[in-house]
Amino acid sequence: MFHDTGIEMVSMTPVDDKSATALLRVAPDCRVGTHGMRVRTSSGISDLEMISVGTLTEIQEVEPNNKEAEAPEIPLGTTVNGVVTSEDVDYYAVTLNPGDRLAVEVEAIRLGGALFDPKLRLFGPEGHERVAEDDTQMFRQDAGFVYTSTETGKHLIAVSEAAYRGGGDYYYRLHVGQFPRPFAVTPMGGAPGSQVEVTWLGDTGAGTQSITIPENTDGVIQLTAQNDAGVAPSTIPFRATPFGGVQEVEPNNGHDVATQGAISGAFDGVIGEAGDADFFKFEGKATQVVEFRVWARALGSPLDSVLVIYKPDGSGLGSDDDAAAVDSLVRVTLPEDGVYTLSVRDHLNRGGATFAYRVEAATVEPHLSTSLIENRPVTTVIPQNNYTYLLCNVARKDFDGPIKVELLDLPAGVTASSPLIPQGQGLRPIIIHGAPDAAVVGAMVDVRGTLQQEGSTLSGGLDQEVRLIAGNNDTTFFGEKVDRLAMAVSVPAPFSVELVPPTVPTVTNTYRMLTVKATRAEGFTGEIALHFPWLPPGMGGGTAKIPGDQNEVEIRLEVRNGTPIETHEIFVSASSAGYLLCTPPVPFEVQEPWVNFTVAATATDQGKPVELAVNVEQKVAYDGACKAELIGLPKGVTAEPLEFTKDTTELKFNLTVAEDAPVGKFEAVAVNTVIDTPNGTVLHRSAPGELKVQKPLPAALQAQAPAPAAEAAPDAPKRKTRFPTT
Amino acid sequence: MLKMKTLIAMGTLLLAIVPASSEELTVYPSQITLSNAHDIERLIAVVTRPDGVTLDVTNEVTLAFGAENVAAWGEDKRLHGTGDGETTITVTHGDLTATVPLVVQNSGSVPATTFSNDVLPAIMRAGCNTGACHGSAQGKNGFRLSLFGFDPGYDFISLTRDSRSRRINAALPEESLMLTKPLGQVDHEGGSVIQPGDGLYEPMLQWIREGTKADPADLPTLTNINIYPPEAVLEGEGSQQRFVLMADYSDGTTRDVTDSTVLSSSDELTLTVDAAGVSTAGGKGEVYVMARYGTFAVVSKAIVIPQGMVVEWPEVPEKNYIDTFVFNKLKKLRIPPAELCDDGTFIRRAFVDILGNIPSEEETQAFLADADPAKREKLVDILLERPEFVDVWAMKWAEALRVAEIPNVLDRKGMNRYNDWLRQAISANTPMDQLVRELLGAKGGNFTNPAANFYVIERDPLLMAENVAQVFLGIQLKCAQCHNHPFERWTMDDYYSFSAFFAQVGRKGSSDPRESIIFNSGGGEVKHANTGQNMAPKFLAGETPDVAGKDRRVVLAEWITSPENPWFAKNLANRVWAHFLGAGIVDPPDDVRVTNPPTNPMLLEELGDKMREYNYDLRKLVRDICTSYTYQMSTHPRDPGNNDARNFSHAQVRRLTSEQMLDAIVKVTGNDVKFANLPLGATASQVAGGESGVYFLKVFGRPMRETVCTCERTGDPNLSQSLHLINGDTIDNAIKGAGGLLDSLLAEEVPHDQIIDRLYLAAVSRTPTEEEKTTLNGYVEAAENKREALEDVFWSMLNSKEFIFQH
Repeated sequence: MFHDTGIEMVSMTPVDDKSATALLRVAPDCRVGTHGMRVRTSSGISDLEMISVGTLTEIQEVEPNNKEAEAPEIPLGTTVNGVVTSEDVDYYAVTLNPGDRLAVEVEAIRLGGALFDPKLRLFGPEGHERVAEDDTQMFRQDAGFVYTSTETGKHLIAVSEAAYRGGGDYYYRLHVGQFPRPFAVTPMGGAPGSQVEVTWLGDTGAGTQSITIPENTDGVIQLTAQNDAGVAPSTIPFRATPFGGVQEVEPNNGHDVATQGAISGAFDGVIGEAGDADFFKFEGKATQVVEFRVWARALGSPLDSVLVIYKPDGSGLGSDDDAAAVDSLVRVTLPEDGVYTLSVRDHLNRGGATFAYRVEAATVEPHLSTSLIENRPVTTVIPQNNYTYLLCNVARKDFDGPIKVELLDLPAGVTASSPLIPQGQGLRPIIIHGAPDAAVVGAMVDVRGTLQQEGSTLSGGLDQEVRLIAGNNDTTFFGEKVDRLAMAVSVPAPFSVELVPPTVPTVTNTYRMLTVKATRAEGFTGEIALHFPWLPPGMGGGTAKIPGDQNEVEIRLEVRNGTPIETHEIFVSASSAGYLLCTPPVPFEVQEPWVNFTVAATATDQGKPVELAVNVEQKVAYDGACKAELIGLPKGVTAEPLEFTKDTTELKFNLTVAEDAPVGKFEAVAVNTVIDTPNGTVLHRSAPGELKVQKPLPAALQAQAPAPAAEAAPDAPKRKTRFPTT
Repeated sequence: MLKMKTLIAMGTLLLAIVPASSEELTVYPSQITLSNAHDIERLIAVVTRPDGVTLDVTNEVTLAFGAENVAAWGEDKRLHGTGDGETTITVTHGDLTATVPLVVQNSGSVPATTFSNDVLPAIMRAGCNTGACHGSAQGKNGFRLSLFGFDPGYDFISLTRDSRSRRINAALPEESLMLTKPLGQVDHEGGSVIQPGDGLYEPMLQWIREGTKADPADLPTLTNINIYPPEAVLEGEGSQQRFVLMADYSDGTTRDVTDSTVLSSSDELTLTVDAAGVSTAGGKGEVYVMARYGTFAVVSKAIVIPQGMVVEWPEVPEKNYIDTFVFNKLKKLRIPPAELCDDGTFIRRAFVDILGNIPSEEETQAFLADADPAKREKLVDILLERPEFVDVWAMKWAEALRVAEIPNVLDRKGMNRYNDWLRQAISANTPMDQLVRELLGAKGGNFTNPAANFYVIERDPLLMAENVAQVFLGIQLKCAQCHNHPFERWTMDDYYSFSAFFAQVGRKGSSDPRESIIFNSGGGEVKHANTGQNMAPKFLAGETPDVAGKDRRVVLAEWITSPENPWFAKNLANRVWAHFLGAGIVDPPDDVRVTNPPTNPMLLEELGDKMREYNYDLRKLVRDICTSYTYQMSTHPRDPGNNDARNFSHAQVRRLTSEQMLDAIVKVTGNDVKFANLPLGATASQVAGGESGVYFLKVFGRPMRETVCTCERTGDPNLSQSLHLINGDTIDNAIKGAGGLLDSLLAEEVPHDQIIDRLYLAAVSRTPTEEEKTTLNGYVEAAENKREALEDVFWSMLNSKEFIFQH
């Protein structure tokens, strides 16, 4: 399964029980660089893996090549697929003459395998280091450089890990050739459908290129630099925005020489040298709310932007350094009609040929996206004739309102619930059902949220990063954004579960034990773990396990005060044998208590019996007599249960209090009762009251107190006081 | 050069065997002002003999006043003002005279007793506000004072207001608990610490009598204290010397505060000092008399020599200025310098100190065979250009700067970048002042600008300030975070205002999550822990610079590296000195304080001057040190009874550092050790971080780099070390390893006696003595398994003190 176009599978041949080889066809117009890919089988789906597409001759690294003398000679126009093991340095030789151009790029971190931060070095024929490149901003931790030779002879290219790490999974692709290798571009964006002349930055040999931005694109697209000398091995990101923009016209390093632009629109430029700042001006109207967002580091430019917006009189209106993660973001309300100015500079006043930026200024538009919680790989497997679920969260920016979430492009035979997420809330489950005859196929599913508001067409799909490389503290060091959920229909799972719906309502401030039944395939004895992945507000669920030799278990569900009084839909998640399934949802009715007990605050002494009064308020009629018991009594205090009917208004419990009952205030004394109905029992639990147990009156004790012993005479004659004794 | 000449003259003057010139009479203080009716000042007279010995003649002098009715010289050997006026006092001792100007003012006015200038000094002298008593953080038995009086305002409240003012009895001042407790008249766990008539009781009583008044706002503050005489040479056990303490105040007045100063001796066996400031000589030695008053501490140096001692000064060449200064000091101490070490010792010592490893057999043989009289200088020059020199000094600085991988703080990549940056700087001979400026003013990502790692490793402005003071100035400020430094001049004000230079270090994330970007945020202040006030950045013992609109760190870096900075160059020079001589002139080098004075201040001053003159070129200073006679002395003192370890009269025997020892084992045996994150063949001194992954280094004291303190590296012996050398796998693997030295020699079928010679040359840079040859050859010949027997010989050599120690 592929997350984008250009690669298809021709065939897959099993090697053994655990591996297979696949033959892929790469289309001639397939984009260079990395592409996301997954492997689906009849029982599941793999994590996301990256495959990189290039245009050069592919060769494999041949060991030994860890010493200068062992470096194999490779022709220009080669991609070497190699591995850096611990403290490994891989050498490759290329022959250059003065004036020869050499472009080198290594893909390592971008392959999404190990946390492999590669370093490139180039040595001249005499062994002098000519280039050392570690992190090239455009390539994250990967490196690339362009070098023009001044010497004749064998040059060595060395690939290593920046901190001398390495291992069997430290794969790299080293591209060596004369291809154009720019490290930035300007302008950094344009309108879909338009043709833009871009200037490649960082490689003077790359020149300019005319780009047609595809129709119907939005956000970030990828550009490939190419000319007569070849094709760059990886792409450079580029913004597709509904509006065009202006390119800076130097000099524009002050208010008086600001380049004219417009809003909504973009302002593109390059901070070419240290200390430079670029100014743009634009017309603005009073009360316009405008968001200015710099695109620089987020798109691989080294510029650490600082953005300042000035009012027509030149005073500051807003400024920012890093509000958009690594770039600047300012939202302002324009106070008056007039000509406003904005400036861009580097935070540390640096500059350079590749310090490109694009400031996008636009009125604020609502934005909606979806993501899946507790689903890091962004996959789901639905076995035939079974249920599974997703927890979908919606992110609303600059609006609120109810959102309906639907799964689109589902395979045939797969259906899914489409929950309505109320205004102000974000999370709801989606229950997916696979029909018994659903075809065993895969699909890239659109998880689409739509605003349910008359006249609105606002919708948004999945916006989620799949973690490829973990950083410290469970963070994502390197990941790939996906906009589709990878779904696979599998052959039947070895079990399914169902939740037995309760036959009577449940009242608040109580709990109910629910029965979950499992149906097992013959011979399946796996333990099935159960929990409630999502519950309506006010409810709390326990967990349970169905042992391998059983098919039924009870699971506890708390219904607290404040739970909405309505019939909810609930379901239980079940996992075993690598499957994540769930029960079909069942109705669960919540009602107010039928009878309210109020426990009166009571006090007594140790050893002294007392009567505890409970006021009974009847709300709903029921038949027969019920038994009420006190719970939460301290040790040594007991009371016999009392009977009551729908006509009782007060209960009086006779408490016996032991001599050694603990002294104190006990604030969890409550009435527990079970009301029997023809359909089942309804548990009731009152709000807690207070019981105070005290020590008996001290007068009784004093009489028995022993006489105090005579005090010993003090040892020293020294005074204990500051007052003189004379 | 003037300074050096003066010093040579002094040295000559003090030497017993030099012909005598005349005696000199000096009177302290050199100028006396009596400012009120209570002002009574001591005067002491000292005769300096031509051989440098000083005699306290205060009891023997006669005083003549130039004018009548101005002052009187009492039986207590103190001056009392009798009427206002100015005159001179002529002090006479035999044929010698000296004059002292005297000013008497306000002789009729009785000053009010003040809390800060009269009562608090008495409390401090009585020891009430020490950490063991009421100065502890919780106080003692309900009564708390600020430690060493760092917060007079608090102490005033404590005494006059706390516990419903029960410590003061205004009606019956003598019955005040503040007095009856320390007098011991009522229960007092601290016992009786003051007595009527001791100069402590009286100001306290008087202050209560006057109504326990708070200090007026314009009260003169203490600005400095001086101890007299500044140095003394006492001859013979029992000889005495008085010391007097004079305090300077902000209104220009001075006061004799000897009675309320805390006096102590650094070595009670050499010299004792009593409460009245009278010291009495004990055995031979050098000692410091420390005086603490208010927030100040000063020392006076005293040398005690046996009665009538005469030392024969040997013929020793002064190879450069270092020898001149060292010999001058040794002459004062009557200690002759040791002989020059032999060539074998020298090459080993120079290799270990300069390159961090012992010489190879070939290197030793070539050096021993060289007949050039300047071969030692030649060797030093060659070694200074070798890459291992970079390893040694990069490691030293990496240790001081705490270059280490720290989870969630500094990634291994940042650590390597930082380490490489240091290596490149040392390799390129980057002047140390430039390095410090790059480091302190660093901005940008810590991957792209490795100097910025300095601010990644430490984030707290207070700790940054402490580290900078300790690493670059050798000053430990830590104590002053919570209270005024008890043994130094640094106050809490100094601490927080120095920390304020680091209040505006900005940090933010980079596009690489492992990287931090450091910048000057231009905002943020450091607050005083007691007052809560924002502190303006202020140089230590210096001005409050204008930092408006500037990067404070850059301002600080300029001050630290400016030629006027009194510590920077000397501290760097002293760190270098300590590496080669085994002890600093101030030792440890990162604990510069008044009460830890340099053993040879003139030498330290000169080394600092040279550091600047050489534009902070490390190699030039190392060359001076290693080519001096002082560095090349034998470890055997000329006088067997000489146990001096601080005046460089002979070389110190030191255990090799963990890295030196392991690298030496590898070099001798020819079998490599694998270090974490470094390819096989790398040396221990090239390990970038604190964690090397090698047990040997840890057990022999390689620091984990958790602090900047030089004390984190320990050379202390312990049982684990001995056991590891004897039974551990490091030496065992190294000796037995295939392809190593012994294995190769056996494979080449070298005769066993020659193998033993070769092992000796490799391990201890010499051939065995005849006795050693006989014993070892006999052992090997008698053994059945020759390989095992030779392994035993090799093992014994690597376990010998001669191998393990630098000598």
